[in-house]
Amino acid sequence: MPDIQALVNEFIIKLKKRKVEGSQETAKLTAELLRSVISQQRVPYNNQAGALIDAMKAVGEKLIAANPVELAVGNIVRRVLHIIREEDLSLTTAAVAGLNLSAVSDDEDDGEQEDHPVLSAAAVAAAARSTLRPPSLQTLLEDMPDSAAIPQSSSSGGDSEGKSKSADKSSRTRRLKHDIIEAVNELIQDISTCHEQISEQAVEHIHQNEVILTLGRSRTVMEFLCAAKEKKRSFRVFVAEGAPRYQGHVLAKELVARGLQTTLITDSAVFAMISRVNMVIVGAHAVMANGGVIAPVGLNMVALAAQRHAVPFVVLAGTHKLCPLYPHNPEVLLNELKSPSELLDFGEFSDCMDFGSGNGSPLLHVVNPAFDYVPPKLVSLFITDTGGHNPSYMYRLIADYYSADDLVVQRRPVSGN
Amino acid sequence: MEARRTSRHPIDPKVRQVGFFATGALRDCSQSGPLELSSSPPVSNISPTRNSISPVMIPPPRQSSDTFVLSRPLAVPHLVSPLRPPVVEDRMVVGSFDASEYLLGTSASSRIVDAEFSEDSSVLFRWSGSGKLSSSLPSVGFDLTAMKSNPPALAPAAIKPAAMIEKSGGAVAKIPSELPTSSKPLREKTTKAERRALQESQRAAKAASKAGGNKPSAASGVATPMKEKASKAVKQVPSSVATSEKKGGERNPEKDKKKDIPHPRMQFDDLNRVEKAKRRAVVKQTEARNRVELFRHLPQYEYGTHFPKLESKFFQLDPVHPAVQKVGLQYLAGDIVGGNARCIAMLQAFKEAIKDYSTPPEKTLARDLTAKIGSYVSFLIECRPLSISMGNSIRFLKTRIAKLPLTVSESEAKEELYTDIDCFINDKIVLADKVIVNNAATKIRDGDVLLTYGCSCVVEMTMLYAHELGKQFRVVVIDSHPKFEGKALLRRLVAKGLSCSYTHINAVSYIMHEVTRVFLGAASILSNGTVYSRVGTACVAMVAHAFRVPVLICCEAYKFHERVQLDSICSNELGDPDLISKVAGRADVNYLDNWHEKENLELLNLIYDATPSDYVSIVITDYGMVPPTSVPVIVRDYRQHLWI
Repeated sequence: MPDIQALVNEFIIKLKKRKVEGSQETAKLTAELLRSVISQQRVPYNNQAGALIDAMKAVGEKLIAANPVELAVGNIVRRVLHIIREEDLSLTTAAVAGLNLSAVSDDEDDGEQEDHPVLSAAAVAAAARSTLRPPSLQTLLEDMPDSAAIPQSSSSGGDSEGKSKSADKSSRTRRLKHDIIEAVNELIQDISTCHEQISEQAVEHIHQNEVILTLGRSRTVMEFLCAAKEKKRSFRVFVAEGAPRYQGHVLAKELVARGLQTTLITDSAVFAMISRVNMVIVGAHAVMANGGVIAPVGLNMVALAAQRHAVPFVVLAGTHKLCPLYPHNPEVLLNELKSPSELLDFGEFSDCMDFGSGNGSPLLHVVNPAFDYVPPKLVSLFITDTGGHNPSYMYRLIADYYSADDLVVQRRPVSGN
Repeated sequence: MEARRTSRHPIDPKVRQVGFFATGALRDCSQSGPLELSSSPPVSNISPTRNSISPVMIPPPRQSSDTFVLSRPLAVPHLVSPLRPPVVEDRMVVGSFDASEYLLGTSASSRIVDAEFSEDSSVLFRWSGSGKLSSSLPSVGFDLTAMKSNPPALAPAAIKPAAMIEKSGGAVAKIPSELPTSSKPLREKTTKAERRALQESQRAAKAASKAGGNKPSAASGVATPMKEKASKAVKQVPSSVATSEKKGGERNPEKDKKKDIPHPRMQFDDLNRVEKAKRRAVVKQTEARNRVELFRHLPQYEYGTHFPKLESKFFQLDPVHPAVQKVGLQYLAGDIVGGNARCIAMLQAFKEAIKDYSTPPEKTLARDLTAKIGSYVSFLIECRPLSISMGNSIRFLKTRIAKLPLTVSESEAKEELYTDIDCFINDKIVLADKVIVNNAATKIRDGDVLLTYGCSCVVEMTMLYAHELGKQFRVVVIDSHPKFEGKALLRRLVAKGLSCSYTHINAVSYIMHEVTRVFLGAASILSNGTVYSRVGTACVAMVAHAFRVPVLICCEAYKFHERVQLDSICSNELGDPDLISKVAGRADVNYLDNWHEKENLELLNLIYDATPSDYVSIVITDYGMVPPTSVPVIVRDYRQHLWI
């Protein structure tokens, strides 16, 4: 355990110092860290899933607090929590199914449980459905325990199994952990291959002789454009620099190296050029549940310009960027102010600053935000690993990946063990 | 000059429709200014009406024409508290010095400041209508003599009210009421019918002079603005003194007519024409490589190679006057930037050139000098494409030269041109800026957060002036790569003690939440209301519009242009693409160091962009504050009454 604690702390420090940047990188590292946490975590006899969830939450809370703006961390923590619940559930249902089959012959049942097994299995299944599956008409119609009872019922399911199936307890413990780690591995795999799945769709969106505009640098966008190029589409790309980091220069260089006709423009020329652009394709930092996008700074301007000229504004985002939260005042609360030295040298204005006089507040503020919020109405389309989606559909897509219990990771008190 | 004034009559009603800019008033004042001032101490060249800030832009309808007495109390009122006037007066003087500082930029000379205070009287007379005697208008002649009889000592002060009135309808109303003896009221009383008759007779004269003129429709009552302009040019034919000038008069109308519709600009993707232009060029320029396909129609040359070549030819090029050459090189090197500064520098250079000019034998001054100026202009174009402000002032100068009567001696003609140029700089730029600053400052309230983009000298003056007035506000300066002009502005504002925020253009939607006003400068405003300005202005205006923040454009009326434009691509200027690949002060951004070698890579350094008029809440000009839809009206009247 101490080594795990050390790993966690190290990662937290990295997050705090912003050594890890880029949502994909962060997501991957987070998932790997959580995987090792899971594998090291000792699980009690009863309620293994609960123990794992609690451990996850404890770690996740710290990670999220380390860099609350990097939503990918929270997303991955929630995804892993969801995986734990799902794996637990599938084991439970499998066990319950086995129980049902053996219920007639097996006489190990306790008196108090005697009249319940079938009912409880049904309850567990229904409860699990309503927890893990997004709400559907069927679950609404089934008059079954409401969500408040879910944790209890799922754990009671575990309990009942624990009592009923003492024989294969140890194997089941191992199986649960094994399954979970398997699933987390899959998640990591997904994160690292999301580019490919997104860029597979490139040909469907980029047509011959089109003009594409993008801002800054996003690896997803680069792969997307290159995939279209490889499919023998010839088109032209305008790259806006993306001040103050000027990552657009890097993107332009990469695109040129892949043989794409590229034009680098200044950020200020976006409005001038957008009238000749057929499509704006950009990456995102995070996608919120309402379909809004936390994006690199400057994209709100681009989106407004695109809307003005009725140019489709397409956002590419891997599923690890989908955040189940609804934003409130995201321009301020989900933003990060970077060092002013990217804009002005510290020494540059020292001569005209008069600190001796006045009320002590400096005359000059340099603002250097890292992100922009693009409201859903400005986004035409999201392209994720699972295909293209409307902004209004994002909440539904997001519900597939997260369970409602985990939306607030922080607030839940660490209970149980 | 006289011809210009008379020609206003036909469209007087239209002017009145516009209401808030007082052309009629301007005329009144420029003539009656000296009289008015003689009744007041000449020292206080800022009249109280100057401080009457609020009623400036929307004077009560028809105020300027009818209700003089009524409007007077309206105009002066609220702000003239017993304490304020002296304070403001002081400030204004300060402001005026500032103005010339900014405008002149690096090439600062004290010329403009001088011009403002110590202009000889001929300037005034020139502007107030001493040019040519219009024989068809006896009343005007009388008027003129009245003017001439004024003591010249009063003249310098009289320039001020002229500008003031441009700004305020109230001031206008006041002056005629003090001038019962002036010839002006007589003119005012001429009825519509009379004026119409006058117009008709002038038209007839014009048609006759054209000797079977090409456009009979021009003589008909339905005159389009352009035709009217042509008619004006012709009007001077009968009015000019000698019959020998007939030739010159005949030349003008065709020329003017051609000028009416703005020239289709040189399209640099037209190979034939480019070849022709190259043969004429002073310096062979190498075309830039990796040019952006979309902008083939605009010229773009290798920047580094151009400069030494021009420099080496400094002493060999005899057709170009050294002063012009110097200015051209300064443009090229980027030492003089900004519409006003470039325009003033050019005009000063032309003044120098005219000073050293002597008409070669067998040639007339008007023709030869125009050709000379034309060659200077093409040299300047080679250095850097003209700004619209420069184009307009060149047009002004050429009209002036063309209108010089043949009878005047060369020295007189040159003298007149000096004063014309000085007057233009003074009235159209320096004083116009002051009026704009005064107007714009009324739009700043305590607690405001103003946002500006790049470095517009008028906006800067406005902010400093408002700061001097004691208004409490904060400024957000938005800047952008590659020029980072905002830094210079920021430095000056901070040095003056204004509280500022600074950020780059991408963060504009982050900062826009706290902004209450957006002040922007403009290189030009086109007659469809499009604001043609430093690239990025459109982005800022768009974001402001999206955040429901009012956008105020400060622009002198001499920069307006009758051209129309819908996007920023058809007409623009390309800067040096190499500037884009590097970022000043950021050595880490070096990804594109050898971008020329990359076949597929193009770097685009646009200089201007076009802001659609629906993003603009208000345009603040020397004529007051108008919506962008009123720009074409100003363009038309401006051209008609003040230039030609």
